Formats: sequence, C-alpha cells, structure tokens
Amino acid sequence: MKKGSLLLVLHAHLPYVRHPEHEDFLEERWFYEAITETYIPLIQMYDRLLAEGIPFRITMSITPTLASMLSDGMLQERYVRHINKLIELAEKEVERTAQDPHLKYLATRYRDRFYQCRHVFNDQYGRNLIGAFRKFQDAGCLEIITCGATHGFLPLMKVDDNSIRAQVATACHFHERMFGRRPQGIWLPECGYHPIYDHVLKENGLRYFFVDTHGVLHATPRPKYGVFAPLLTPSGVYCFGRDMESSKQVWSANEGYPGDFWYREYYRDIGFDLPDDYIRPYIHPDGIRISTGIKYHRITGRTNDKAYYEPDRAREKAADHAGNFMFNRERQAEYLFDRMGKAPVIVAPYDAELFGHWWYEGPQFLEFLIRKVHFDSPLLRLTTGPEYLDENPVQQPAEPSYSTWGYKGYAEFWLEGSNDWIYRHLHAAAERMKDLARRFPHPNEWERRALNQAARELLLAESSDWAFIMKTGTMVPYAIKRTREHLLRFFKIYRDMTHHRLDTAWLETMEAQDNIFPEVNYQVYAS
Amino acid sequence: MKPAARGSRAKSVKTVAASNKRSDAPKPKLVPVEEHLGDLPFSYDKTHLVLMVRDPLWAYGYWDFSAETWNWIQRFFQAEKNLRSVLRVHNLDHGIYYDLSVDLHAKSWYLELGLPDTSFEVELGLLDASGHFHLIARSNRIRTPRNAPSDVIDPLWSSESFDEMYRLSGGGKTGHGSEIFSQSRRS
Repeated sequence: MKKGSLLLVLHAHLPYVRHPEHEDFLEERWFYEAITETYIPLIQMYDRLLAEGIPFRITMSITPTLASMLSDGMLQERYVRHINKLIELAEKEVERTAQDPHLKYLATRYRDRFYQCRHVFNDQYGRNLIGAFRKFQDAGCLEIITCGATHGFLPLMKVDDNSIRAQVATACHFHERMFGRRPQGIWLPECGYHPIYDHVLKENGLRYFFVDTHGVLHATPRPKYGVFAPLLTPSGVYCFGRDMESSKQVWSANEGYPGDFWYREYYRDIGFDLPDDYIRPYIHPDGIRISTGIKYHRITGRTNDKAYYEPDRAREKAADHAGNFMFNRERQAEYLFDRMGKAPVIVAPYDAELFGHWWYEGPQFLEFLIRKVHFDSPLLRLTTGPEYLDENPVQQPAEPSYSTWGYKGYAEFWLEGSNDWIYRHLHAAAERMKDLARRFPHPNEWERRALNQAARELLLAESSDWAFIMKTGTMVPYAIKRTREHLLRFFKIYRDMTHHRLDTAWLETMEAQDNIFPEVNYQVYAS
Repeated sequence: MKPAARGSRAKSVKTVAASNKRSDAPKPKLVPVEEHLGDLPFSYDKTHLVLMVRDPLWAYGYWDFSAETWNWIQRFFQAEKNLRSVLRVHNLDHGIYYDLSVDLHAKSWYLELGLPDTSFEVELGLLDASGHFHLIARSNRIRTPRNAPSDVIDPLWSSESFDEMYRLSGGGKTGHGSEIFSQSRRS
C-alpha cells in the first residue's frame, strides 16, 4: 500500500537573452550550456523511461521566456554553431590528451556526449526541444506548468496597474500556444506569493500553484497537515507547500548530495586551465575566459587540489544518493501516514538547471530515483498536481501567507540597496501602460503594433533576473543595461503614442529585436 | 508512446525547418538604441509615496514630487524655519503613529516597522516648529506578513498535533532557493 506521494518539480527558467544585433553574445551561452547540460539530458532520460514503459510523473515549469528561446529559429541556429564548436574542441582534446589514458578517456566521453547532443537536437527533435517536452506531456508523464510571462517578481508589483494580470495572462496564453493546452499549474516566479493576487490565477483558469514552506505553515487558519496536504485558497485555487527536508538534501551546498567528493567539480574547466593560444577560439572572442563545459576533475575535497573525475564512481554515488533519498522519503511518508491518518504529498521543487549544469550527475540521480520508486518502493509513488487533486479534491480552505523561496523567505533579495532603484521606474512604466491601453481601445494597425511592443518591453524589464543579478554582483552591468533599455524603449513608445508620432522604422527594429510573445495583447493592461 | 505521436513529431519538425527560413527575409537594421534614448527620468512629475513590503519587519518606501509640489516645498522651507521632513508611520491595527525624520532628497527609505501581521500606512510630510504636520503624500496601505503560525483555527480542520506537523514540515527554519547557486549559475 502506498503511504505517500512524491511531487517532484523542476523549475526550468532562463531570462530572455537573445541578441541578434551581436554575432556572439556572452550571456546567450547560459542558454546553450543549459541545453547541453540540462535540457537534453532530461529529454534523453524521459525518452529512455518512456521507451521502457515506466510511467514516470514529473512536473516541470518551463517558463515562457525559456520556451520562447527554445522555439526561436535564430537561437536554434546559434546552438548548432555552439555545439559544433564544442565538438571541434572535444576532438582536439582527444588528440591533445593522447598520452594520458585517463584524460583521453574523459575527453572521448565529452566528444561522444556532444555528438549525441547534436543528434538529439538536430535530428531527433528538429532543433525544437519544445516538441520533445510536449511529447512527454502528451504521453501523460510530464506535467508542464507555466510561470510569470518574463519571471516578473509578483509581490513587488502593484495590483492596480494590472502588471500581475499581464504576467499571468500572457504566460497562460503563450503556454497554450507552445504546448497545445492551457496550463493547470503555475510556478510563481521565485515562489513569490502574496494573497492579494491569487484571484488572478483563478481568472486565468489555473488550478494550483506552489509556495515555500512558511507560505503554507503561516496560512490562516492554521494548516492541519502542515505542508503535507495542499490548501484551497479563498479564490478556489489549490496551493502546495514545499517540503523542507527533501529540499535540503539536494539544495544544501554542504550537507546536500551535489557536494559529494566523487562528483564532478564545476569550477575546474579547460576554458580557464589551458593556454591562451590553444583555447582562444573556444572562449569569448574578446579573450574573456569562460567555461567550455569540459571539466576533468572531481570535487575531491575542500582544497584546490583536485583529482581526475571518475564517471563510473560518480554514477555509483548518484545511485546511492537516489536510494538514500527514496529511503528517507519512505520513512517520512510512513511516519506522516501514521500521524495524519492519510497519505501525505511531499513536494520537492528544484531549479531544473541544478540537474546537469550545476550538479553534473543530477540527471542520473533523477533517473535512478524514478526507476527505484517505480520498481522497488512499496510505499511511495510519484504524482503530479492534477493527479493528486483529482484523487483528493477535498482540502482545507485557508489563505497562504506572503512568502518566497529566496533569502530569508521574503523579498529581501529583490529589494535592497543594489536593485531597489528599479521599482519606481517599473511602476511608472506599468501605470503608463495601463493608461495607454485605456486610451487606445481601437488602435490602427501601427498603433496596435506599438502598444503590443510597449507591453513586450515592459514585461521584459520586469524579469526578476535583473534584480537578482544586481544583487549577486556578477554580470551586473548587463542586468542594469537590460532594465534600462527595456524601460527606455517603453517610454519612447509612450511618448510617441502620446504625441501621435510613431517612429515606425525604429518600431520594426524593436519588434525584430525584442520579439518575445508574438501574440501579446496589450489590452490585458486595460481591464 | 502511440504511433501517431511519431507522425505528428515528424510533421512538426518540418514546420520548424520551414519557419527557420525566415532568416532569408530582409532583416531590419539592428542597432543598440540606448545612445539616443537618454537616461531614465529623475522624476515622473507626480507627487506620491509608494510603500512595498520587504519582509515581516521591514518595508521600503519611495517617493516623488511633481514640479508644483517641489516648488511648494521649496517655498515652505524658505518661509518657515525649523521645518523637519518626516515619514509619519501609522499602525492601523493599533491606531497609533510615530514620525521618522528623513531626507526628502533621498527619495526612498527602508522602514523598520518591527511588527509582523500588521497594517500600515505612511505619510510623507513636513513638521513645523509648532508641531503641525503638513502632508505631502499618503502611501498605499500594506500589511506585513506573518512570521509565525496563525492563531486562527478552523474547527473542521483542527489538530492536536499541529506543533508536531509544524516541526515536521520544517517550520521555523529557512529554506534555500536559487540564490545559493546564484554566483555561478549566471556567470
């Protein structure tokens, strides 16, 4: 008898980084690396499970910005260019390391891996990985949920200017266009929840969302089952709370699995280690040293003295850790089942890019876990939000509390000395967007295009990633530039609309450059 | 997987390949635009005070002035001595208020409210020598979030073991999200 359900959520997100105006753009590499190291390994895992008839259940939020990038022809072309360069580098590495059997073995593995990635990307899925995720969705294994349209941090938006509504409505519409069905669930950006807007989720047909642990624990009234059963919010949307224990085992840098000494070391990369004249064609054209993805060492210990990576040992560790994770969830489920008198749902959400990009063996861990739960666990099963709710529609009515999954659990990461200056501008722009939307209920064709572009620029300026990067202190100039540029473009359209002097040539350029959400509808700001 | 899915996949591949041909079309000239779009405005010419909740104990407020308001403030400072600019913090649940001295030019302030689960409203204004408060702008109302379980118990969903469920759920601890991998994830 199953004593508990495990609801795994992978939040796959990247900000919209697409720069047709530059041949080679450093920040676009976030996307290429994520494809090679996370999205393709996950897709290959799903394909293997599907082929073997293992009915897995995984929830993935694929954010609208990421989905846009995955389906963008220019970025697809550039990814092929990127993976071709990596293949070229890996071929050179196989030759360069010929005298060192261990290194040659590793270089050969990378080379084979990159060829595989190109095959999956080009041949198997015709360069559009959306089709892959959609396939697993249609097979009933992958529950794809949406997110804020540009991952805007909702708790710091104003409700009355319709910014929140625009983030959610645009996301749901785009999701349907990408994945062929309306999303049932949403991953609120940064898990940022405030009770004043859950009616917006309901309005958009959403059935459930997730909050951090304290969002449920501090709900009104008290949640009888803690985070181990969802709540039914006043607007009629269900809310799942994150389980702290299962999170910690994976997230924690010190106690978590990814820190195991046998796992691959993220920070040692040939992009930094090898001589300039050799590596130059594979790093940034300006000579900036960057990660290539070819890494030959394992974590080894807490010093800089790193031993060579041993993939088979690392794989064994991933299997051990998956077994340990399942064992702990089984004990947790058994205990909770006794205390609750019913089966708990254990919600374990992670950034998808943790698996593969950060924690190289993460996808192996997931695959072992899914297989073990399927074949070996008499107590546990994997579930998704809709599956669980269909079986358990009666849940405690309560209003969750304001919460995020960020530093200290609230908004401090996105509202502090480095980034607080953005909000007066974002709010001013949102107010003007609402004003425009109301003033132009029946625009002509150019006005409509301008208004929709204004909405795109506002949405792009609102990405929580920019505030996040400003706070972390790396790549800050880029985050500031993106915030400023989108706002300045928005304000130019506002002025031009107000003075009835549209700059159509410029507008066309902006439509081509900031081309996200082709079907965005500015009227969402008017309501 | 149903055989039909394979067919539809092959079809979608073709569609994607076709859509990639858009790159043959003449491209609009793509240039960085910030050079001629200037800088973000220092002021939006509107008098207001906006309050944002940071966490159960802190809020952040920013303000702005219309040219008209700013002229009025300047004239007021010239006419009156011992004027003090303050944020008047109203605790709406307890019906009390207190003043915090601020520099108007700062245009923003972090307020240590210190009380979770409480409603606040803040006024920006000038205090004259006789203690009169001259309002410049009134904020939106906010409610700080709770940082502990609610006292409200639904009799249909009550439990004697709530403390244990709270502990088992990880209550009282702080979790981790994406920020712990932030340094490298975006680098």
